[in-house]
Amino acid sequence: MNRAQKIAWSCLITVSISLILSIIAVVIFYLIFGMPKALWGFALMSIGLPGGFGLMGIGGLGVFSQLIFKKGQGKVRFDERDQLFYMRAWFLGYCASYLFFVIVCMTTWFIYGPKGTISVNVLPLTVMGGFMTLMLAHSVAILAQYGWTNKGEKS
Amino acid sequence: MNRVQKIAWSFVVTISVAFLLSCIAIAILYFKVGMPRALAGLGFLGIAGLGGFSPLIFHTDKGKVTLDERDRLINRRAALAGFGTSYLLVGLVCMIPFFILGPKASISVIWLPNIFGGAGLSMFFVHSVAILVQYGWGRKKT
Repeated sequence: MNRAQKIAWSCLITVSISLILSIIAVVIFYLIFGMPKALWGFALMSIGLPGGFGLMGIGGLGVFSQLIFKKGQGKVRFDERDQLFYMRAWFLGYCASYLFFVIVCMTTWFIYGPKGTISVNVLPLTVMGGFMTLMLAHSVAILAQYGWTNKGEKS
Repeated sequence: MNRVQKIAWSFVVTISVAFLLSCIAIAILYFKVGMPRALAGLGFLGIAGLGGFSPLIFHTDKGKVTLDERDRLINRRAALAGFGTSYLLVGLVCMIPFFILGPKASISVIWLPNIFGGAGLSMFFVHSVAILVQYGWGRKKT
């Protein structure tokens, strides 16, 4: 696998694990403490217990893959084909994250109705979710174009 | 001007007029009836929707080649500029209330679809401005 594939795999694994663990934690905390403590857990922070979404921080570990997987030694490290793949992957990532914003905002509006109110914390969490979606979609697009397991033709 | 320039001009004019009228209406209503009733002035933003008729008004250019590689490149850059601006706007509008109001505040859920209304308007406006910057604001370039 080339460097781009390895970085994409690490981002995909870390974001997926953080998402799955967060959902499991939210479900467990919901059964124990109910909403909204299951999500935010601010009341629980005083006794050292984070809310379920705290586990999303694991997804940030994927960023270290840029340091772990060093650049290739060859003369040509990045050609036009790699550039095209990256452009398509970033475009797909931004489209997916924008769609995420729209779905979250409109779903909330339909659930709560026009006279409802929400905590202002929903807004930065939406941005965080959008960023996670961006990383996920970008990684999947990179792997779909280079190949999921083959050598990806090092540039 | 070619068809794309005319459509871009119609969007720039309608969105600008709608925005200006809304600001004036909100300012006048604020002194008369105060907030939040002054926000009724936002109704003037509906004028921006008239720009949507421009593809029907301005017919396709006659000639064998209506869209070449240069036109495609200009449209692509304009679309990216519009999308980038609306994405940035969504990010800023989501983060700024958190810093101003603080984590314990709550907001009306009506602001969520309003964010996308604003993002959509900004996307069309920036897309049109980018088209006019690249083609030219008034010259006859193809």
